[in-house]
Amino acid sequence: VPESETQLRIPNLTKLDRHELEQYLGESATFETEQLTSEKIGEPVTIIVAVILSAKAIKGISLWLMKKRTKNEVKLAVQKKLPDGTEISQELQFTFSSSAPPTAEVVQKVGEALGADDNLIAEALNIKLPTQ
Amino acid sequence: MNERYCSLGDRRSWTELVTNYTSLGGVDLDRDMESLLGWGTAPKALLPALVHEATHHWCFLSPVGFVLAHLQLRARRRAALLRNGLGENLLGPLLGDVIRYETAAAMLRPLAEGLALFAEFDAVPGSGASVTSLPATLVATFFGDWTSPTGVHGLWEWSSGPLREWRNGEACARRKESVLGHGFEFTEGGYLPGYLTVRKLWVEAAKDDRALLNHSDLFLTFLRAFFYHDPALVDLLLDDSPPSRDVAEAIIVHIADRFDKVQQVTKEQVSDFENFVALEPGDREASGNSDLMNLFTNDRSLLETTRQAIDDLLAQVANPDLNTVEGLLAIVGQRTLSQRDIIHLGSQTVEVSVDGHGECAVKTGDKIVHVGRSVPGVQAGTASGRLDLVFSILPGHMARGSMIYRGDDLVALSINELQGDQDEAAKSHQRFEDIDSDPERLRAACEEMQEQLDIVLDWEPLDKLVAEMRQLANDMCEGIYELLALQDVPPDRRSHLAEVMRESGLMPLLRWDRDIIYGLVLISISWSLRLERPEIIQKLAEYGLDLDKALQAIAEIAQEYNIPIITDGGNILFSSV
Repeated sequence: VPESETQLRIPNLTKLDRHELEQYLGESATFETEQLTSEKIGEPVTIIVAVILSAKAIKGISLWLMKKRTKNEVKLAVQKKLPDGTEISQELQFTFSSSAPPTAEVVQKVGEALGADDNLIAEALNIKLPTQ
Repeated sequence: MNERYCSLGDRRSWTELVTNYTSLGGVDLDRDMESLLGWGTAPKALLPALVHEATHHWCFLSPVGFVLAHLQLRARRRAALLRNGLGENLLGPLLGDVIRYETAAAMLRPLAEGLALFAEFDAVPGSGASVTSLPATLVATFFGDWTSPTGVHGLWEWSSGPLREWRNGEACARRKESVLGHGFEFTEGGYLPGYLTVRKLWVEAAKDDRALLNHSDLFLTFLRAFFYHDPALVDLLLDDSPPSRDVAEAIIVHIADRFDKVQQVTKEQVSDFENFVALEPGDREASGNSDLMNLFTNDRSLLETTRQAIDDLLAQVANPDLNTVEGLLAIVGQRTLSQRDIIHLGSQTVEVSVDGHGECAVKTGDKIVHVGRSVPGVQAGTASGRLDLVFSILPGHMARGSMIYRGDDLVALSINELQGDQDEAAKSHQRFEDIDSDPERLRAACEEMQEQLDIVLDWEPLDKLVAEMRQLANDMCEGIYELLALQDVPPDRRSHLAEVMRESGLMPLLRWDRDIIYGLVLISISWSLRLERPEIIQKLAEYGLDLDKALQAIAEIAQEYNIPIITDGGNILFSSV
């Protein structure tokens, strides 16, 4: 991870979450599964995605969250590692204006909650992902 | 062989088959102590893990579970003797124990996980049910609304509410999504094949007794007893013929046959079972039929032999010969077997002080968490220790016990019974007083002895025999559960479908499409919530889904793979998964 970048880690993902995030984030994301040890055989595997905070990441995570929402709400647990090395865990909750919110609204809210600056959010709003 | 049975999606909750020790990962006694001591006040987030692990614990506290634990403990003892040059003729008997234990445990493992998942997602005590499963009883005890009045059937009312609340939430839908996405595999617990099997057996049983579709908690209770109170399996496990492939095959064939038989069970058999379980223990004695195993065989001779064998085992376990090394090693087994009814809710590190008058004070940081009398004979002093919060699943023992250890020694215990229930308090006090060894230390001793066994099983040529036996059990397990779980799939397509599902379960079949997957998940859950079509439409709409579109997409998939998925009964919908 470049020292000037903020890294995002989203834990407790299911296989479906992983599949969708792979579609949206492509090679910019890396996925980790907890290593099994002999003592832990039989335990379900937890998946974590790690991605640099970028316009593509904001857009991809936003589109994924739109799929996951119930009514007009969705929650997101995220761990951030800031450029200065500070680590922050956040439980984010998004409430949108309707049950089918415009993508721009979701991108704006997600970008702000993840701590992206206005330029990055503006860039995210204009990106078109291949799977959109 | 791993003997921990974990909650799906919760890596820190598990139950061990041999010790029946249960760990609930979400418990933090600093935070949860008060709520776990109460009735109906436990944190709601603990419900799925408690239901899952309690189902395992309940299955393993049975004749089959007891004998399996005995076999493995004896194998460990024999390994320790062999390692110390004291077991000249023990290699054969040790291998016999290992073959019987591992084959039966492997064959029953997916079933155990399937039962636990069925308890989480599907089992509902029917209205006015006379029988309530242990998991549902615990839901009533820990999460029920004890401030509301109930009739004679209070338990089912108190368990239905919290189960409904949990199943109505997003966390349940996500957990079910996770189950459907678990691989169709057998090396990591066999969750999905086991769950699909139990659901299939439920539907088959309901063909003869449609009421079972609603009395799913009764079905859970019946299925658990059918396999874990099976006298013929106990008899096979206690057979002491020399180890061979035949021994493993006999167990495999028996369990496969048991799966055939459970699909032929009649309405009358389930009704007899329900009537028997509903009897008070005293009335069971009076009827001359006090043992569940009676219900599963007409062979009186087999029953007598099995009962006698278990009685002999209990006597042997209770009185080890302390003049021999084996007898001394047997103490670990004796103590382990005598604690298998205890469910461990959580532990916390504490500072324990006992004064010269036998008063015990327990602190975490500056907070005093317990003050009371110490057990007799404890010396005054202060040291760090541990507080374990436990209860027993034996009937009439729902009182919680706080077991306080200073170092390794039990120095105090306190009982929290339901207000005014002195009988339960007395029984629980007696039960917890009998626990004479620190469960942590006992588990450490068990693990040490398991290491001895693992070393011996690596010896040549034993290693090859064990590998062959494990391969046989795994192959047969795969074949049997594939047949059971995918019974509705045409035989020529079954293996192909199992292969498609091997890595990510139903996800590829459902096109990795969240709308289809959640449509199916919500329709499936709607049955246990007793939702009718207009409510199902509303439920799906909360997730931004349209019922008709979901049904159409699922129907296309059902046609493509030639498998029935949804039965549309107009006002009600039933999913096969």
